[in-house]
Amino acid sequence: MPVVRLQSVDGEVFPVDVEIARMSFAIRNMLDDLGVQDNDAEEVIPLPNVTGPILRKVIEWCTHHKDDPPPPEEDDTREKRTDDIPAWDQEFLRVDQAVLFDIILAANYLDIKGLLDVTCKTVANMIKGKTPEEIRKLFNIKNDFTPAEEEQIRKENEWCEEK
Amino acid sequence: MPKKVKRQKKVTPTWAKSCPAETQELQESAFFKSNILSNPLLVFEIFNHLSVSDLLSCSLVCKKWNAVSREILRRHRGTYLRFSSIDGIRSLESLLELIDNPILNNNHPFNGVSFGFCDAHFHIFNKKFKTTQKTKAKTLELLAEIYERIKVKGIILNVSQFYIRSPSLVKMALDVCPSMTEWFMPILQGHFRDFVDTNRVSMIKKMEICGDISSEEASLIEEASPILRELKIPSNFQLYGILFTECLTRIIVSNVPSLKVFHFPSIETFKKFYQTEEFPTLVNVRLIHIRDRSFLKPESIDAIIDSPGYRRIFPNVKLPWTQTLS
Repeated sequence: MPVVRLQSVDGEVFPVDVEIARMSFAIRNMLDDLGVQDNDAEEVIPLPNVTGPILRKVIEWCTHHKDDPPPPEEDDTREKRTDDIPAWDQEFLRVDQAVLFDIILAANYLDIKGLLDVTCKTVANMIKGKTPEEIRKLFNIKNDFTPAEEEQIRKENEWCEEK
Repeated sequence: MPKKVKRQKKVTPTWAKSCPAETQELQESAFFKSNILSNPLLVFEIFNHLSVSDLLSCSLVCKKWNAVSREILRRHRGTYLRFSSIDGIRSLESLLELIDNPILNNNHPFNGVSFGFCDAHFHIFNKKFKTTQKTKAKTLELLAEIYERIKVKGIILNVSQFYIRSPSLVKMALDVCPSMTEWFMPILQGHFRDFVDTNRVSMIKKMEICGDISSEEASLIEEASPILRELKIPSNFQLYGILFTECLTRIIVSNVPSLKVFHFPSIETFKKFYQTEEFPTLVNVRLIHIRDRSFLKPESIDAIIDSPGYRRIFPNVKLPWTQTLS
């Protein structure tokens, strides 16, 4: 199995099967652009936005999911399900909020749809059923509304109805 | 040839440049990370998984979240302005004031309006109230203004009985709102003509065919061929007789490619529907909504999914209607 070497921002190098590395559309595009051949095992791909520990997590996820069918193209704009996170992924994502966010950033940057999806679902599940104040506390977000603005939003929300 | 050198540089992805990364890049990345929940694209990805009520909570968290959640509510969830609590000119005026408030760049979440007349005291639409011409004109004027402000895309009318009391409502709503593009309503005898007469047939996206529809009306619907996305089947439709089933079949057949969602009032009606041989295979239907699932036991779901009628009519349905069962 041909291998590519991924280098994290802190200089750690990870040899990864090409098939697994190609789950990232960013890496896939680059390999295609550069026309990297199978025997270029010494080729090192620098990933200046991903740290070693996060890259290790991402590679772990990709390795576990390497035989998954490609995620379906969703044209549905309804609320997506969040109760279908596989047990392995739930366990895998039982990490600090900071690590979870770093994985989201890496998944976004490396363009790995499945990983982005499951991490976003995890964050969505953290939000569900909470009040605005609880959400702010959870993520340490500053309330930047004036009282008048907050009142306006509250009133608008009262008029809302789901189709 | 400095130009050429520049072009070549562009071809190589920036992140593929040699390591270690420059300090500036590191700083940018740190900034980015601390702001992951203020990155609209990622927040959008997360919010896509939330229900309307959770999105409303998120809209109160901070300004950036407000902007993203409002966008999703308006564009993707089709949140409606609920008119059922309107009780006259006063409340219309205060509503207009609310919508007109420029405080957050008029970023309201409404995509359309929804009328629920059963409990409303919307004077001009209710014959029980003797409304003066002046009040009527003022109400219509205010409505038109609200529609214009929130750029109404759709209208939902919820109570079919209402039409019996006020048959001119459809016409009135069409007159008041020239710019809307979607209309969800029960179709009763006589009302479809209003859409044909005003060239608005194409805006009907969701339809409920009621049992007392005449075959003339059915023919009219078939001829005018609205492009239906959703269809609501009345309960006990089969009891309305062969003529009604024929009408329904004709309307369904002419909309096979566009129909994506079916609504059933109960499991019973749903079963009767897929056991009816006249109905064609609905290749594009992806979703089935069943309002009353109380008679559905988990073990009977398999029986439904395996039945030949279900498999013939709904070959491509995902199974959200089983979701609420545990």
